[in-house]
Amino acid sequence: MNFLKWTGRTYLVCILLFLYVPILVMVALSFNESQLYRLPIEWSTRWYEALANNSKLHSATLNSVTVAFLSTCLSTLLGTAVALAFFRYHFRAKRLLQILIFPPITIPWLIIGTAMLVFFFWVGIGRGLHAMVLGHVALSLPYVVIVVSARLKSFDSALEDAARSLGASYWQTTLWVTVPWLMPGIIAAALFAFAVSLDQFLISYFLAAPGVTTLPVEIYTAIRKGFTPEINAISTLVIILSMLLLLGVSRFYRFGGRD
Amino acid sequence: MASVSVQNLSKKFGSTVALDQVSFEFEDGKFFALLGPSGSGKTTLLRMIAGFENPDQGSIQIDGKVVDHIPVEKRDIGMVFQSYALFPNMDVQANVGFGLRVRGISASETKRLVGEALELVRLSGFDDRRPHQLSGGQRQRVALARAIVTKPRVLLLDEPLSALDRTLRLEMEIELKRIQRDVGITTIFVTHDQEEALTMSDQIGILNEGQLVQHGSPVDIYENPQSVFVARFLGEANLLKGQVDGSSVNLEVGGTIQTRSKPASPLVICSIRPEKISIHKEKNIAPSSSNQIAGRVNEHIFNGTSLTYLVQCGDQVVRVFVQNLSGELIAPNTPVHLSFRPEDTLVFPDA
Repeated sequence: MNFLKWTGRTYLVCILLFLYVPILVMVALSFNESQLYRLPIEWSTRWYEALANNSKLHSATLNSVTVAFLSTCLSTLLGTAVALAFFRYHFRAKRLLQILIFPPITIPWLIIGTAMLVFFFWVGIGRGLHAMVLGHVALSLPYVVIVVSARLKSFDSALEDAARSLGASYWQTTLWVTVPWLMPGIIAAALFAFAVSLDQFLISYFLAAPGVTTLPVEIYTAIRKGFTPEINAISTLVIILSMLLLLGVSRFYRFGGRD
Repeated sequence: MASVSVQNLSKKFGSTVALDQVSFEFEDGKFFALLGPSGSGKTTLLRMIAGFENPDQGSIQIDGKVVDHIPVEKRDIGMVFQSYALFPNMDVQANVGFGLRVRGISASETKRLVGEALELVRLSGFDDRRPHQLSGGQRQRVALARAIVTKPRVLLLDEPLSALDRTLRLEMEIELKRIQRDVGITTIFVTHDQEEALTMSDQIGILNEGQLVQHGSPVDIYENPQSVFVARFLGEANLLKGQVDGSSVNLEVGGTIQTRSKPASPLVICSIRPEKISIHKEKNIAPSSSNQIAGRVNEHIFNGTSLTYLVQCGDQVVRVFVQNLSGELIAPNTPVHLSFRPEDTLVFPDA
């Protein structure tokens, strides 16, 4: 018993180290004076100061947030509607449709990105932020459907029946009864979608018009030109933002279901 | 307030028949119970009257007008659900006022009507509580207030008391009946609890396997069941098999008895309610016109006001209810004689 306990704890510690050591190293180095990663670390905020003057990173960040915001709004709206449709209606090929929602999670992004690029050119959408928004909606939609559906599982459909028996129309029932009840799920789904979009590199890389990029693409380009601790600094900021988002999600969405 | 009439309603879910040619008249202002075991179609019938399900065949009229193509929200019904279905994101005031809000009634008028409804269910002062802050009985009252505040034509209740404990249920039965009488609304109540049906309703309809097997007043159905199923489902019944011999019946458990009506088939089942049987230690104490069978006391159950004897007659156990008049119990293993009147001995063909 003691042996098992001890092994379990070691295992847990190893996993956490594996996950967080690289990140902690990066965060530490972002505060290091030396450009060549010389140790020991000399405390400095010069790379963060350098960020303040990097207009390329600024516009890339703005683009990232814009794309994430727009794609989140769209995919949350569409995904919630999809989850509601799956919940309310029984129709032929529903099962098939439910499965068809998920490929963006399983198909390699490289392939999806290529497919989107080819398709967007073919139909005349082309590249640019608008194309990225569409691409990110397609990617985050399944996450929204999963999260909202999970919340709907514990929804008592008698609530909708009750609203209708009291004279509420379809839309009144949805907006006044169902959606308020779903709100924690919808917020969690939106935060998920926002994170998916913010983190997305490949699709954005494929769909970026020359000179108009998102933050991950800009970081990648910068690394290719020569790695500076400035990248560590911006990455640290992104990590903090992502962690805050995650905290937000876990506030509204219980991982691993209900107790 | 309105009458409801259903004609030849049939409904199948896949290959299972939920309702089979059900016709019934629910008169204006009366309290009806739809009673049946689970899967008998009673909830389907209620949901059909509400408009949640469409019949495959047949037609529903409210107040003499066909409502088959009118959706739930336009049918002007009030419904109380088994789970109460109170809106968790709204307080009591908003829950009860929901039906008024969707009808576009002014805030001040809504407040007045909600106040009246809450007073009727004796929940004044609970306006800003949330559903999760209420007890089961209080939620039930809110659900009822919400259903009647819009003054619907019909009130539909789907097993509304089944989630309450026994004491609360008995209290709510009386409350519900009082409110129904005060408001005078046509009420249709679905239940699987025969006691609820007997105590509360003016009329009972008994459903089994999608068919309306009998309907009538509680007393009428209890005293004159038309089938073994109804005799057994509404109240308790001792069922004794026998063979017809002329105008009397030879029971398998021993004894020859007279029945209320002439037996119509050679093999019959006789049904006698436990409270219509008297139990004696001596023979011939009962009038000679009574039916008599012999047995031996297996066990007695003392309930205070009454006694239940389980009497072994042949290979069958007969239940007997006696009022506790003398305070004396007949000990187990005592040989006894059971007597009951021919009028109380119902006879059904043994299928």
